[in-house]
Amino acid sequence: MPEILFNLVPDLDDQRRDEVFSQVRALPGVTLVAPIKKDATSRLTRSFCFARVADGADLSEVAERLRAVDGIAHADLLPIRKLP
Amino acid sequence: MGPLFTHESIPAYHDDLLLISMNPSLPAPPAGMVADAVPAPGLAAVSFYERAGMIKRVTPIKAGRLRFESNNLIPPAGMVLDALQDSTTRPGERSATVLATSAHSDGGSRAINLLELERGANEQELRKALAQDPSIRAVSRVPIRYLTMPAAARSGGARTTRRTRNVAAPASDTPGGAVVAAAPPDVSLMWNLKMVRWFEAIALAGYREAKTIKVAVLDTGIDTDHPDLKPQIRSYSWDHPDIPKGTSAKDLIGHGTHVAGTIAATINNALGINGLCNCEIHAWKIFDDTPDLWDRGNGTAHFVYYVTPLLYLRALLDCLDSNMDVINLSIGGPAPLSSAEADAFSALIANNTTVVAAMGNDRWSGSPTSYPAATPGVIAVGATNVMDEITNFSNRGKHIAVTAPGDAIWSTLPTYAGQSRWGAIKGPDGNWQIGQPVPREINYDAWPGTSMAAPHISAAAAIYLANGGPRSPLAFREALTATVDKIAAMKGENFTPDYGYGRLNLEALIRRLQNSGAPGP
Repeated sequence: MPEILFNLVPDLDDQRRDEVFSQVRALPGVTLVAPIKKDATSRLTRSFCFARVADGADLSEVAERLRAVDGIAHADLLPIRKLP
Repeated sequence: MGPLFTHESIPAYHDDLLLISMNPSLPAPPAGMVADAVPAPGLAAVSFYERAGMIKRVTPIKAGRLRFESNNLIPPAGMVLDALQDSTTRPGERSATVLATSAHSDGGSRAINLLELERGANEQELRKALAQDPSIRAVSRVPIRYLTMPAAARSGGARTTRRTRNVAAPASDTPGGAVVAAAPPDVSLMWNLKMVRWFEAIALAGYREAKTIKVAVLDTGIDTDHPDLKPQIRSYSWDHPDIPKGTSAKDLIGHGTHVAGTIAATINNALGINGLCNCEIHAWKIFDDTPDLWDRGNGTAHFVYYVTPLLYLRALLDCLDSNMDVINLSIGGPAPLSSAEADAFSALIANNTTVVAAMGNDRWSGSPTSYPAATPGVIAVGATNVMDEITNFSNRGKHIAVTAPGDAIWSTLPTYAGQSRWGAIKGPDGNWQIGQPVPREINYDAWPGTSMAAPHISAAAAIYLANGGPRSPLAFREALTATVDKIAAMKGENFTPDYGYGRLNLEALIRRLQNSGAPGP
């Protein structure tokens, strides 16, 4: 299943972060929401999160909805990288 | 979605060439010896093939002048080649005689011969016969320089060849003590180390080892049991319980193990090759084990491996949290950075982590800009060859910083089997299904690619830091670009889109530090 990466706005407290996650989880097509690095040691690295999206869902549409959530700075599909 | 690095598939090896390395202890051939009189099984096979009209010629090759008959030849044993045309098989002379004579006349050093076969000859069968001959030290196929996935070996089933020189791995599948495949060169002959003046750099008075410098390799994984790498591997991250992605610990592709070896294969341990430094290697596997379909839209397809975005970003964040000194990224893609990727790079560079990336290998298709190489603050590296010229695959662009050796680079490969990609076959439903693997070599191999050039610069950054360079990507870039060699093809320019500011000169880099009175780490 594909994922969409998003960053929380800086200085979001834990309670607000949980609220954002709940909102994202409720979006159509989203099956999982989590930080990329649960054991992150800095505020910055804690802001990186992802939403796993069901196969067949319109990724662009989900990304657009993510961007509209208050508390999310930006949301993107990570471009393809491969061996040169 | 198809791959964003487009490239065509070409064979990995010439099917009409073999490199034969003779044992130096072979007694002198009797005058007028004919091949029929040669009892050794390999030379007898050569004689048999010759009678069948399947051998074009044999050319003895010696260390000597810098001259290549073909850019497709990877120098055996790391030597520069001097194909002695007057020693090539003459009319009436037997190939087996040339082989035996070369072993005797080479003064005890390794005699190497290039055997050219006629079209239709069974190269594999002859190679096996030669490998059983005690007078022959090694037989190897001749790789074609290719622009696609490194080590794309011939498709059509797994091979059983093994490379064993100085490797604590199974010796050989063949009797007779010979090995089927090329051996890495003597470390004193590694052209890439010579070219960047590595030997001179480490001999400088006051030179400091990079033992405490942390270099991250975000790649296809690493073989943590490789005897030539193991001492330097401090951590390996491939399993993230919170990001289940179906990834094993194995470096199936081998690319990450190759990159890590160039940076930090154990120096002067009598095994295989030398890396450039003995820094700490921290490896992250950022590929999962499930290949993705690459439908080229022309009736052909492959299954290839792409970077797994979550694993990649997770690794970048780990590097940030663990305060890596240097990150090597021999990966790329033409799409600009996403916001998350850009945030991660900005944070890393602000944290004074030096990030090094490969320019990409698509020169033939117009050098499309590749990211993360084109990211501000990232040091983008192109690839030069043994002639000290830009390779015919290395991307050009205004964002290139420097070049480094990136062709026929010997380095470590996993000690277990793997594959660079998979074939694809049309299933009964008309959809592509996974086909045969394209196997890679094991233990060691010489690969081309800007992926192989970048780790030279990552290692240079580690050495720079160990020798007192300030922990600043900008300071390293300035020192690096101020000390590179302005190679001839730059025609006096300070910067060109092909070479950047020039080709790495490690000795000059360290001398500059020493002359500036760097305080040390």
